Amino acid sequence: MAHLAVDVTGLTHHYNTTSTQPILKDLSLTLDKGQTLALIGASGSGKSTLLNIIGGLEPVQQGSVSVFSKPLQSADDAALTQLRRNTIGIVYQSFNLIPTLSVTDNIKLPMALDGVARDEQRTRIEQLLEKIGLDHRSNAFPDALSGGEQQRVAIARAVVHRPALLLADEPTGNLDATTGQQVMHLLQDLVAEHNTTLLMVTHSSTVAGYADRVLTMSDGTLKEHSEHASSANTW
Amino acid sequence: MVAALLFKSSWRFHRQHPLQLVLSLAGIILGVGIVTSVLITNHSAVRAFSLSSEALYGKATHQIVAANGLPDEAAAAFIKTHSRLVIAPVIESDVALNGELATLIGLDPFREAQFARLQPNAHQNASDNSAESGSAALLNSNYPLWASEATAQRMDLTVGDTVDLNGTEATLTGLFSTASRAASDGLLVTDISVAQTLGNKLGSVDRLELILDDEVATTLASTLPAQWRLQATTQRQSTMKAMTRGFQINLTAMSLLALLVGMFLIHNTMTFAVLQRREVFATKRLVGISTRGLFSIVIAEAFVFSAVASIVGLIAGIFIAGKLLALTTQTINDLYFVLHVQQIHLSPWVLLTGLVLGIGSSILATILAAREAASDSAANARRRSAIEEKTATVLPWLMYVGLACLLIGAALAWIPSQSLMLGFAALMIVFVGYGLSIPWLSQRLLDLTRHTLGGFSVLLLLALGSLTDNMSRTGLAIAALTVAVAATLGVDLMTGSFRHSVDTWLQQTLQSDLYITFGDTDGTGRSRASEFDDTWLTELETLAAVEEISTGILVELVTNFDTFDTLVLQPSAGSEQSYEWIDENDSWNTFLTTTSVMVSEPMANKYQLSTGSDITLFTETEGDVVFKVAGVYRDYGSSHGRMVMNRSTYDDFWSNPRIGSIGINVTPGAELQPVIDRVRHHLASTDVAARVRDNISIHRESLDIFDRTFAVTRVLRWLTMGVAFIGIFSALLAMHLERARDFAVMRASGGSRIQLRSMIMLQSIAMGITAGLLAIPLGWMMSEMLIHIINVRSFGWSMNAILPRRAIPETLALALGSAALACVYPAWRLGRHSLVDDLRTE
Repeated sequence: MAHLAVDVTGLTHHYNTTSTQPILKDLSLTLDKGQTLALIGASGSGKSTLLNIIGGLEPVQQGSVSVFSKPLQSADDAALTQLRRNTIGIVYQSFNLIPTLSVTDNIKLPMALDGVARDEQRTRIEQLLEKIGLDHRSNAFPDALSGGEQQRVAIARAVVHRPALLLADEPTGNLDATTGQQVMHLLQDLVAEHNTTLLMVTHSSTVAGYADRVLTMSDGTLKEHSEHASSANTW
Repeated sequence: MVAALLFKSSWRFHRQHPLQLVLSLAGIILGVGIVTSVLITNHSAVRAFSLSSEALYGKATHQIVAANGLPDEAAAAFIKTHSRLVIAPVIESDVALNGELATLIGLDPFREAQFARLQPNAHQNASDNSAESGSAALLNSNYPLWASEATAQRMDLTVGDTVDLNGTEATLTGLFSTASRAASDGLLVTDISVAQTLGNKLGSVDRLELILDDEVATTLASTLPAQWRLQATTQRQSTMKAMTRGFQINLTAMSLLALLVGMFLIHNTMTFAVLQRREVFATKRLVGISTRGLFSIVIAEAFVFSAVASIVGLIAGIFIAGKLLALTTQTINDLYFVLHVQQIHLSPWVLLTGLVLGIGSSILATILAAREAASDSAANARRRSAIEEKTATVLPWLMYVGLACLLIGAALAWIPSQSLMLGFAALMIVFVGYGLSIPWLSQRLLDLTRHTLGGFSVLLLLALGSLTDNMSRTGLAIAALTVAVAATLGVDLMTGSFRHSVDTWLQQTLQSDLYITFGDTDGTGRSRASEFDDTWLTELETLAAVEEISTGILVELVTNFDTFDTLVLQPSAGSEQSYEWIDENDSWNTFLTTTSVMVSEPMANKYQLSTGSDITLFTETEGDVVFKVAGVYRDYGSSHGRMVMNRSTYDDFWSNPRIGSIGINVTPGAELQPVIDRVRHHLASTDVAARVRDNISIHRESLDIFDRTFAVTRVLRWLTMGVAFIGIFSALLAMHLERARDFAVMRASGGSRIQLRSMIMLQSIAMGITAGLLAIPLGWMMSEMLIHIINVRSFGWSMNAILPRRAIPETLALALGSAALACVYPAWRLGRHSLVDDLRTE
């Protein structure tokens, strides 16, 4: 099991305590270290919920979930916080940048929360800014950036603390085709650089095409995707 | 149709944010509640005074008074001579009834019928004859003592009960009622001869009351003896009302300050409610709603909320007034005259004023927010940073306007005037001006702190950065807290300085070691006078360890300005030390050797008197006589003003051999208690009730009264702090509600609950310290204005401003404590919300 980044077994999840129909039904999933997995499926199929549970943002109601051998169902808030701080990075469809912090400060945030030394912070930020091509916008605020630029900053923030697992929820969902492609290339490069495991949720078969493995989610269950799309598709 | 849709949209927004709505309403409710409670309290006191005057005077239109009462024989002769007129003699004394202050009226039953002052209670009176008039029934008891029904009911008394009257037992023989039940609360009635005995006024009556028309009054006035004076009963009432005016204006001003703080709060919450919906407003504009329409809808919201909250505020005000009434009445009793107010009087005008102030101030506080909703371009409104950019542009201008207000306030303050309203206007303008400058000053202070200390902690950097980046919210919250804390500091410094001055003054005034006051104390601090022969006094002076004595009597003297309590003093060698002169002159020597009086500082201020001024006194032997003002002395005993007259001067113009108090100086080094015992033994040789007290106990009691006087101010001050607390609480909550997604992002990025809660704590602490630091100059300015302008114009008292060492740390602690307390709930809430929900929030 040491080779597994994510191990989900018998996961059942309801939206809330009153709902009778589970959003995830006895779901199992394994993800190897360094692997890129794309989850595709219709809206409301439970993709994002699964991502949030793996990211420790939602509790495990039934079943077990381990991230790098750390069981989440028994983890308390401090342990989950530690896991997110050291092991996980998250990219959102709507970027979720803090509007009152500049580009630099947004990227700095996870390191600041983790107590990374200031010199180290500066070095990593400079490297990342150069990599995402925004070194000239380091002092700009999010609402002065384009959608593509904001997502690049969000990706930089998600990887700046060098997480072993990167979770991306519709990373190109708010972008046009060209920008989406640029963002995916960037994501691919950064993942490859540190052998990061990537779990993506997407509607786009093109984005799914970047993955080593694609699973389709339907009615709260997973199945291997038959077509491995690589041709252009809607973003 | 469109309006209905807009209202529906607004209503849904507020239903989704109930806590914000409640906090916003709470600010208005408290603000209106405080103002209304003070208005009701003041109105109730004035109304009670008017009603009790009606009860006291009945149908009397005029009264004849003399400087030292009217001698029995002269009064009787006058009544006989003017047998066609309706005249009745009256004695009025303050007494202690079962330990509670009451007014005892002595009436002549034979002459009362036409005055219709009282009606007997048909069911309970000892004389069970309901057909009898009140005055006739009064005749049927040998030793009649009647209480008003209101008094009896409140004190649970019935006819036949034994009561304690000034320390002696008396039997309640009847009950009476007056036209207004509330008016008679605290009233006792007895036969005039009994009142003379109980009030130590044997041989004289206080006044003759008459029912006259103006023509007869004019004729009668010209025929009166020189030492008698005819005055309309309304004249006396208006004088007494005027005495409390300054005090009531002070209370009203304090309450308006609470409303001002409430306005900051209302502005803050309404601005937040607008900012939160900036995208909704932008969308509405995109679909064709005009800017005017948006402006109207925000103002209409404010109107609806403030109307609802103001009505609740009025109810709260009535409740608070019930609590304030006792404190206010106590102060009026301590400082001015005996007033019995047991119930609040609601006037439609008072309630309407509270309503208009509540709705008006809310709409005023909302105008800026409404303009913001309407004026932003549709595209800009969607940009969060656009609001902060705009705020950053506005802050310096607000500061300039604030600075201009400060200058205007200072200019108004220094205009040489006696107008109290002008003084308060200056104070309010200074407050508003400073308040407008606070967001800019806060931003500078927080920026400075961020650059200085930000390097030490990322959390601090984030916390402070978040504050300065959100000045549209935090600036107002800091302003509200600053204003409230400054008001607290200002009032504290003023009362502290005042207390210190009174303390020093008491030390100086109470030069004798022991004081004998004659008659049992009646709770008013006044004593009744007694007559002693010279031998008795000489014997007192020759008691072992008695070094010297001085004597005094407090009398009411009529001047060309008004009637004043006057201390007639037979000074001892050390008496001069009792007086601190406001102007440096040979006042004491003039006082001892010429036909002169010393006047207190409030009297001098009010009537523009100074050493050498002339003052006409209405004397017993020669009618009007011009006296010189020998000097102006410091006196905190009465805001109405008092005089001191040398005994020998008094004896030249008045024939009143009584004395009311004796001051005894003990030989240095002698123990007091043996002297007190010897004095009491010596007093036992007379049948006069007397109280012997040392100067320390009088000093202590006086300061107790002082503290009691400011109890009402302290209550208002804490209520104001309550409004400010809600202000900072709602600002923090609003800020954190709006930033819920940011906090969720931080949590998702590895931030722990403790880190985020620490950040909120740091923000609160920073806001608290900023408000505390900014409150110190404003509080100091307020105390200077209160001491040197408001107090002088209200009461005529000057004093030295004192800044105690503890004032600054206490102010900072108060601001910090309030801010820290206000962040508890937002911090607690932070860790309990669903991260996923917050991350989804758009």
